[in-house]
Amino acid sequence: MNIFSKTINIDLSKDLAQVVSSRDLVVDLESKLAKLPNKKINLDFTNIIFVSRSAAHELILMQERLSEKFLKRKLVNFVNMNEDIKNLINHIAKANPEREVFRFNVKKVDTANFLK
Amino acid sequence: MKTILVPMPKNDSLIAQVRSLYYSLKGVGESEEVVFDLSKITWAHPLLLLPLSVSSIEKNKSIFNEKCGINGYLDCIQFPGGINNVSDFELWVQKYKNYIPVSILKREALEERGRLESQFLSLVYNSLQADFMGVRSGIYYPITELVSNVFDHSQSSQAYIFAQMYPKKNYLDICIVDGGRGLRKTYYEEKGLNLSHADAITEAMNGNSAKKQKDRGFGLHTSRNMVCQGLKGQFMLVTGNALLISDENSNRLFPLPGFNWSGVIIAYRIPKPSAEFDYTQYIE
Repeated sequence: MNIFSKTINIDLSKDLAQVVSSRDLVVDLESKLAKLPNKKINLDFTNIIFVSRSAAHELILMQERLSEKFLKRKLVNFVNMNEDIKNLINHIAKANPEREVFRFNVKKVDTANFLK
Repeated sequence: MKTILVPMPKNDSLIAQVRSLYYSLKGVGESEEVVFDLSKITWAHPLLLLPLSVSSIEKNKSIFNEKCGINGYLDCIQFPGGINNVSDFELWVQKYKNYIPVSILKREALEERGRLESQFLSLVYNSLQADFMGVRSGIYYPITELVSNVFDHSQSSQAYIFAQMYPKKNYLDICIVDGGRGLRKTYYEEKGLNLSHADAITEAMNGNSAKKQKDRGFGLHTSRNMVCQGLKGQFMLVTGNALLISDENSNRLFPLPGFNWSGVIIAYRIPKPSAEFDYTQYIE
C-alpha cells in the first residue's frame, strides 16, 4: 500500500485546540491537509470538547472543497465526535441556505433617561 | 495631556457600567492622548474595564490607577495590559487561582490563539461551578461565536476577552471587545450599504451577514437569543455611537451622542445556571 492510499489520522486537538472556535483556524487547517500526500484523512475529534457553529460550518465547507478538487482530491472524514458536535455538524449540513427571514424587533429609545 | 476622571458606576447593573464608560469616552478623539484616572473607582465590572484596557493598548490612552481602590483586583486580572499567550496564562492561573485575566487573542498566532481561547473558556466555565448537562455549551457558544466574528469581520489584529464570576451575586459577566472597523464600516466596505451605527446593529441582529456567502450571519443573533431567552441574561452591544440593550423581553437601541467606539463592545450577564441547558434550541 503506498502512502497515497493510506488513511492518515489527524488528532484535531493537537493541530488546533480542545475548542475549535474561528473559521480562519479551519481555513489554516485546510491548507495543511491539502499538502498531505494521503487521499483519505480522518479528522479525529476525540479530545475536542466544543466546536462553534461558525467553525462547524467551515469544517463542512472544507470537507466539500477538498473532495471537489480536480487534482489532489481528498476524502475527509470526521471521526470520534461527541454527541453535541455530531448533532451540530448534522444540523448545519442539513440547514437550508434559503432560510426564513429572521426579524429582530427593536425599539429605538431616546437617550435622555438612560444618561441620567 | 487631558485627564479624564472615570466616574464610579452608580450601581452594579450593566447599564450603570456602560453609563460610566460613556462619560469616560464621550468627546475623546480616537487617537487623542488621554489619561483615564481611576481614583474614584471602588468597584468595576468587565464592561467598564475591558474597553479601557483596549483604549490603553490600542488607542494611545493611559491609565492612572495609583490611588484606585481596586488596585489589588486590577493586578490580579492583569489590567490593563492583559495576557496574550498560553504559558503566561497558565502561570497566572497557578498564581491567582480564581481570577480570570484580561486575555488577548492575536489574529496571526493561530495555534496559540486557539489554545489560549480554550484555556479562557475552561476557566470561565469552572468559575461558574454549575455542572449541569449542557451548561458548558451554553457558556462556550456565545463567546466562540462573538470572538469568531472579530476575526471574520472586524479586520482587527486582536480580540480582547474578559470575564468575572460574582459568586455572592450569583451571576457571570463576560465582555468581548475589538478596536476594529465596527459594524457600520463593515457593511459599507463589504456591501456598499450606507447605514447609521444603530441601523448597522439592527442589520447584524437580523442575521444579514456582511459576507456574501449564504448560510452566514447566525452567530450574533443566536448568541443574543441564547443569552437572553435561554440563559435569562442581559446582552449589550456598543458600536460607533449606538448601544443595544437586550433582555428576555425587549431590545432597545440608544444613541450615544458625542461617543464613538470604532470597533464593537459586547457584554452580557447571565445568572448562574441552576438546571440542564439545551443550547441546540438556539442554533439555527
